Amino acid sequence: MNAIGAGISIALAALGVSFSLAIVYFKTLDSITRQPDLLGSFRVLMFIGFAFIEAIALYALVVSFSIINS
Amino acid sequence: MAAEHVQTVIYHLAFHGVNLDVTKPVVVMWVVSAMVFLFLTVANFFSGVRRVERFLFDFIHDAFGSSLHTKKTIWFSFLVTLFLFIFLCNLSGLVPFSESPTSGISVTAAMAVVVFLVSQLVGVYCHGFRHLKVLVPSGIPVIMLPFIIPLELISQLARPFSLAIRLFANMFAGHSVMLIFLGLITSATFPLLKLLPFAGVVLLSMFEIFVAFIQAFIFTYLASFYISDAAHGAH
Repeated sequence: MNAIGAGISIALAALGVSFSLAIVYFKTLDSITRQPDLLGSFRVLMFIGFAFIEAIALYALVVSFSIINS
Repeated sequence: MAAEHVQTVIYHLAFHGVNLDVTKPVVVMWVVSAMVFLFLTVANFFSGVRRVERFLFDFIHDAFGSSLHTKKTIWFSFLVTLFLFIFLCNLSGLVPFSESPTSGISVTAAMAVVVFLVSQLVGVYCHGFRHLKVLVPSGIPVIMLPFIIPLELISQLARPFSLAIRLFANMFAGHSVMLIFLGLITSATFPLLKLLPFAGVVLLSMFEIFVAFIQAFIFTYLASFYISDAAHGAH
């Protein structure tokens, strides 16, 4: 039962993260198309968005490790 | 996961029952601190190193100068040191025979607590005890206050938690996935089948350099945001 919970945790998190990252990069590319000279700001914001969303998937990974080891 | 992460002890040390063992992450942190200190002081004597240090300060200034509305340059020194320390600590995980201290929750939690205390003290220093008004967003009817204040308190207290766990989980997960790939190398039967996990390990190492830089940048960015938010934010 522990393994099922851990698997479900990380699987759902990865699902949400993949959609969120796709949205972030999609809108970043659209913004670069609209205003190409703000590329520096867009790059910085894209990396910040990437790190935040990856962090949420890693919280779920931490939870799944805790479930496995308890 | 972090509880049974056994650290290799180099020198046993205790103070009245408090465990102060010198372990490998402690030695790596000493080496990283010495490197950061040497880099930032030697830069005054060599023009080449001074150019690198100027590049780093300009990078931090361009990245965080707009969010940090203060004119005092002491925050830039703090942020540059924080960024260098976390970046070099993260990179130490890729050096052979050494590990990253930030892949343990204690190091990242200590840094997150420091950033949290600094931001709260800056808020109290700038605004007195009206700093507690950050818990009360503007435009709320007074009836809803007993519900809003605990929620805002939790969201403020979640900041150091998320800061610590973000850095710890990124570093720890990188090492875990690399261990899985290395296990795949040893458990593959044909020598040709060993090539694929080896390529995976190489690519993962390159991705980990990128993740090390990004996580150091994100930690420093959030530290600057919390400090400037406490000083100039919702008041």
